[in-house]
Amino acid sequence: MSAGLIHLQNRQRAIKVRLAWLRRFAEIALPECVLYSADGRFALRQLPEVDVAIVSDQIIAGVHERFMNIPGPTDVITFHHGEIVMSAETAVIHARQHGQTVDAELALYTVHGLLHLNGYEDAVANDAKRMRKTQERIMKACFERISPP
Amino acid sequence: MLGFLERQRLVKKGLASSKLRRRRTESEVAHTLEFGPAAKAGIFVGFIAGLAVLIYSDASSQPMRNVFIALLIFLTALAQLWITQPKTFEKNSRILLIFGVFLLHLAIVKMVLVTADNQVVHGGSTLPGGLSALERSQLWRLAVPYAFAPLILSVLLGKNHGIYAATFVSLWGAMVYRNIDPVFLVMSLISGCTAVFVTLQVRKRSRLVRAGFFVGLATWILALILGIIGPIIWESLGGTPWQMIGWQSVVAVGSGIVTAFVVGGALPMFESLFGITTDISWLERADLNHPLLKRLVMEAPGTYHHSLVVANLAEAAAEAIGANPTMCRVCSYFHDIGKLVKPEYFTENMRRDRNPHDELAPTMSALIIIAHVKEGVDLALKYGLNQEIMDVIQQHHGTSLVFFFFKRAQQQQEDARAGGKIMNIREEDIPEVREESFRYSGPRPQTKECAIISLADSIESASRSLERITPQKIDQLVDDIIERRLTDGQLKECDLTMRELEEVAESIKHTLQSMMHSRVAYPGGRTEKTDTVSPLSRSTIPPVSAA
Repeated sequence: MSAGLIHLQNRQRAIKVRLAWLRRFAEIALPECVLYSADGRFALRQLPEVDVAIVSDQIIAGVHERFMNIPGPTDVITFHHGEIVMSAETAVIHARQHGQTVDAELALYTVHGLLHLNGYEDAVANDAKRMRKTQERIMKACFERISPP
Repeated sequence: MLGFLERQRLVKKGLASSKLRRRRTESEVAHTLEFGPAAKAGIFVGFIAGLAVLIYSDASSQPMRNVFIALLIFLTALAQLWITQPKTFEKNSRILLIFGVFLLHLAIVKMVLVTADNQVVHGGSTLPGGLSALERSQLWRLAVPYAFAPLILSVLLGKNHGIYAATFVSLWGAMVYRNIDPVFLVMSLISGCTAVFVTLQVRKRSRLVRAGFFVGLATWILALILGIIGPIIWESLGGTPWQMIGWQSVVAVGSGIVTAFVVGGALPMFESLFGITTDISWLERADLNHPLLKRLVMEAPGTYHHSLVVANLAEAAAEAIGANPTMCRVCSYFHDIGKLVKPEYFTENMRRDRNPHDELAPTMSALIIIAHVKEGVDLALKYGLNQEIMDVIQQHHGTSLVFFFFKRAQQQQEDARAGGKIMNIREEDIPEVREESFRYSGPRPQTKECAIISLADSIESASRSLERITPQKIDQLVDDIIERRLTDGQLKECDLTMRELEEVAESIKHTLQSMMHSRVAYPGGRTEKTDTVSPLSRSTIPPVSAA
């Protein structure tokens, strides 16, 4: 079992987020995600802790370019050493498209990143579909324990 | 070799001295290395190769393109150096210094940037302090020592070279790692220029650390503005990552200070390697406890006092025209150390009742007087004084004439001719007085500082023979001596302008007047009217070394 430490930090000021709610959500989501491993290796268990940072588009674009060689901002980037970086500004855009709040969108990114850490991939359509299904199941399970924003 | 054998033969016969004076030698090889085009081209190729290695040393996206751009920037760098700093461009050692420091700077920058990214790529455990890999990466990026090359070159070679360094290490630094990074470019440029600005006048080592602090401060402010530090979230101050901001501030300011410390430690090495003396070192050398100066006090007190006065005159004059005053002071202290060899033959050290020149032929006297330049170089080499001081020793008399003894020799020759007519001696048997044997061997002063010291030296010694000092007399004396130096062509190889020469004259007159003023007698006061005449005006001995 993972030590269950997850740090969520807000590192941007363009978008107002409910930090306390997001932190509680992350603490609930972590043990849920640990249970689902795509490759049976349960990599998430091995990590002593997970860092989640909410940043601006400018910072995520820099990270995107530097470590993945793709210019421009993106929604969420996961590093295998247990670090999830997500952009609040991109979250706002996506949230509007899906008709939900920013905080729910960021919560979704958190789960998405945690699943990546546990071996899930979304590069191929098949894998992505499987990942999305697990993601929805976890979100549902979480929202039974914490009311949606 | 033949000369050596010949000399040994003469020594054996007792016709020559076995003692040899140390001389400054300039070998052919050193000269070629310093000014040769091949060596210059070698440095350029080396720099380009180093830069290419730096750019290629990681999986950069388009290394070939970056190397090509770096090469084009290098061409503009060369053009700029050639146009704005032709004197620096001439000397290969200076070029090696500049581009060597550039390469060192870029290597450090690259190392820091790679370390920054490795934090994330290799991940690894989170530190107990609680900083994630991405945060550590951001901290490393703030630790880039932007001011390294600008600081070194600004202190060693002056502000223009500092700005030059700031510009070009920023341009190259922005592309040694990955794509051209505008934020890095701006941070590097501004931090570098700050470094130059705060080191315009560095005379103490502690000033360097202060400069480092300001560089760090500039980096910090800039990072705050550009959003690299922070963000401070005003709506929820509790949610602001204060710990991270604290670390970022410490790293930004600390990197500036650490850079300054490293530069301060490295400076003496660069100074001795490249034969440059910074203002810091000049001030450290302005210490009167140097063994040579202590000997001067004991063995030639008159010369010692003369040197101190010349130092005051020269320092003020250098200040007036924006030359290097501290260098003038130190060089003045040492300019006459050659007189240590035969101090009693120089008027300032002579006993009042005995003049050793009375027993000597004028040519012999002139020989002894002129020898103090060569003896000075000999002592300077023995004690390891630096190049500039040696230049001043060698050049402070230029190729001027030892006027007093030349006149005496001419007088004696005329007397001999008159006597010869009576004694029926043929005209050809009376030895000719040759002007060359009464002239210093030179070279003439090559720099402003040297010219100033040369003028201050002759004016000071001449001022000793003034009687009844008045401001008009001092003005007249200064003008006369400068006039004579000019018409003799002694100032034609230094880069003093006529305007600067005028300012030097004004400054020397002013300093001299305030040094030699006579006290006003108190009317009917307690003191007696004995010290109305300046003590300096009592000298009646001819100004032997005034020429």
